[in-house]
Amino acid sequence: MVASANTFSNTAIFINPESLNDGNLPLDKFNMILGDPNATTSILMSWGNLEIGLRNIQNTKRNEELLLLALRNHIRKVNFAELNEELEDGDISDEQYNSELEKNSDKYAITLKSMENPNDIFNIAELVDRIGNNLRSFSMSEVSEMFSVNESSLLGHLKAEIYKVK
Amino acid sequence: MAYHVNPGDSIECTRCQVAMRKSIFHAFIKLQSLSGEEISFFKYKTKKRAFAKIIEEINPKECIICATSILHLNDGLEADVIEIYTKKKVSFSHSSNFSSTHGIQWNNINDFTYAKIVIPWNFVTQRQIAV
Repeated sequence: MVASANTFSNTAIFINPESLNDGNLPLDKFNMILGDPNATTSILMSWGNLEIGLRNIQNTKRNEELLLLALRNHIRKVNFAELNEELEDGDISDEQYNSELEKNSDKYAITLKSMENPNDIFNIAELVDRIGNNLRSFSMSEVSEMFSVNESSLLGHLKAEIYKVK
Repeated sequence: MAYHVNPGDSIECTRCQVAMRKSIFHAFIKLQSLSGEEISFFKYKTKKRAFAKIIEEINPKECIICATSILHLNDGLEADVIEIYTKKKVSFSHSSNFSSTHGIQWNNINDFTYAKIVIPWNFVTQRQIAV
């Protein structure tokens, strides 16, 4: 009866594969049993719902990664602004400024790369939309700096999706 | 000698003359070149009227950052907002009487420069919408 077990805190989740073939359930449905295999508590799930759920989890995870990237890039910009301020105030010399940029370039430099996953365009659009434009209306180059994406790649993927909709 | 005005038009050169009404020192950016190498740049963004002109061509005359960049001597960009990527930190000096009303900030950048039009003149946008 028991097929697989994933531990979710202290509760085990069992999927009953026999229910797929016993003729009582439609083919796209399966029983998920919470607790031990003898427990009577079960949830009727469909593969479609499970797939949508998994996709939502992946989407949320990717959003979180992109937000962290945006935060890191913002910190890099702040670091760079502070370094420039130090130079202008005369706290550091030109040589120190250049050597700091060379040695710790990761602290200051935002790297723009081409987009690896074309689905990222949807996550980026969603995040920019959720940030809203009451604080600032973002230009394309600002969005590309925020998410470390090459501007031409961002524009290319955006155009491709627009043509798909058309 | 030609001035390019469309959004996305870009130039690449080893020496460049830049003039603008106002500039913003923006960020420290690493761009991927066409060969895949990462190159560090200081990024400046101009505000209001700006132009960038090639005064020394790249040798060999091949694009480094963008495959469609303009590389010819004395060609340039003219637009409302231009992004300028330079390998060296540059300061722009003010000079007055550029027009009867306004002064200007300008400088010659004596290092590799990549510049790109972000916001073109208003008439260019209107022309593109009309077409």
